[in-house]
Amino acid sequence: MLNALRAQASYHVQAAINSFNALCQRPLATMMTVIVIAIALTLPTLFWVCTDNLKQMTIDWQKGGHISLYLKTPMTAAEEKAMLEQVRAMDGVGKAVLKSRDEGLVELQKQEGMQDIMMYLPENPLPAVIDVMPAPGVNDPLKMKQLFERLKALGQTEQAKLDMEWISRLHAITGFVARIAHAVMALLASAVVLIVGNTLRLAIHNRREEIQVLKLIGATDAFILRPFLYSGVWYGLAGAVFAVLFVNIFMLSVGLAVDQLALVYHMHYPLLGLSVKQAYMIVLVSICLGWLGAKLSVKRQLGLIEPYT
Amino acid sequence: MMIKFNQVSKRYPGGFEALSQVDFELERGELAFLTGHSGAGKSTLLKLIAKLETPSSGQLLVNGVHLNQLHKKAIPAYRSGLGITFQSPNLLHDRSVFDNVALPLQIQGMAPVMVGKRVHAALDMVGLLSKEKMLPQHLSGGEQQRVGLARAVVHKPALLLADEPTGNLDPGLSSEIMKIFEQFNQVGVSILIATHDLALIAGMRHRIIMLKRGRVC
Repeated sequence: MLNALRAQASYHVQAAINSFNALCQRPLATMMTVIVIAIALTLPTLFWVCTDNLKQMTIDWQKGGHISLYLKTPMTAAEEKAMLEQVRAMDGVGKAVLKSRDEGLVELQKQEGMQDIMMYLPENPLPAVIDVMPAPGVNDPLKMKQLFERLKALGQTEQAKLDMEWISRLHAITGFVARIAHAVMALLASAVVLIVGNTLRLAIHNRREEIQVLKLIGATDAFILRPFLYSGVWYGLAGAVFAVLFVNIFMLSVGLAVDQLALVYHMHYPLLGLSVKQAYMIVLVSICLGWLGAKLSVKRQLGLIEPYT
Repeated sequence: MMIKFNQVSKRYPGGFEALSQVDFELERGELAFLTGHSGAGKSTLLKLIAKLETPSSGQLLVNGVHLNQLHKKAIPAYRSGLGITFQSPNLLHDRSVFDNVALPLQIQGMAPVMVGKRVHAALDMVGLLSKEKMLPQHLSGGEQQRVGLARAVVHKPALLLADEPTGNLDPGLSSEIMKIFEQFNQVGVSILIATHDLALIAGMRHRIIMLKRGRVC
């Protein structure tokens, strides 16, 4: 049993090596196919990297999406302090800052023209305010809304304000881009399957005689398929390696341009390249696509070839 | 009984009847020649046995297998139990002699160490052990025929089918090939050889089955 398995394994290794050698014997044709696969993989991968970068950027921006809690008046300083502690202890709250009534007044008076108006007011009309920054985990409109509702329900809150409209818009945009990315991925994944399938269809055609002989001496379909499946796997693997290379070259060159642009605006956006995990993922997916393309095309072709005498 | 034809007919699309109501048997361990003019149905008969064609009517039993009931998925396993060699030896030209002969064993999934021993033994029998690393196109016609023969017997089939195995060869080489067949037969392999070379087989003491216009006579 073990010996049979070992024999099978050695035949698989042999088939893998043979189909690799066969591809190397036609370097130009192989390379063209590999590059086409690589380009088909590069586009969705770029989309993927771009949405990642977009997410990274918008995490920073979402810090602008804060909640203002206007406290009831009058409240003592101790009560305000207790309220602040209560808010800070809540789940989903990243940072909470108390702005007392006096601080609010001072801030307002600094603004041009406000000082005169203030003089006509009998007393400080401003409530104390707690500015709440959500925790990093609170990163979509729904969670934000939930946090807002909980804060609003606190006893000492007179009024709460959520600055959320633009976050919703931003979210809609990133969602839209992700949706496009998925569609592009699906399209180009099927392109890879078709490219490999078509390439191997020609390979089968060229090896028709060999297949006839193999069928004549009793080879099973699985045996005949094996080298073609390995060709598909090699195409997938090589295509993915080139795609990773292309994406990294692209991101490096774009990264320089982005750095220059950001510098003009006194900002800094470090671009994310392809992570090792993502690269592995692409290689794995591509191998599966190559295998699938080979299987679909070759299996069908094989049924049409019958041995002759 | 190795082969039993029972009222077997084969009609090709278009109406041509290649075999009509053929009855014949081949015993286990027997070597028999199948002869007749070209077009008499020799090749069709062999193709039916190899399950390359299906009879239009009649029963066909080979090595205990009812070929009429053989499922499509079971055909490879059935064929791998036969040894088949044809006029053109059907070698794979991108592989060495060794790799060609090793194919039936690899199909069976035999361990590579065993494969080596068996291939060498088969090549030794046909006298080509020294040429195992060569490519088929660098061999003469007779040598290619012998490689095909080695491939047909390397997996020790119970039944060996040969269609005009000496068709392209001069008389000297032909009788050499026939001697190899007889050697196989002596170790118990049942053999059916189709040939039109009556002069060659006349001197050999084996049964001759004559086909005439699709009938055994």
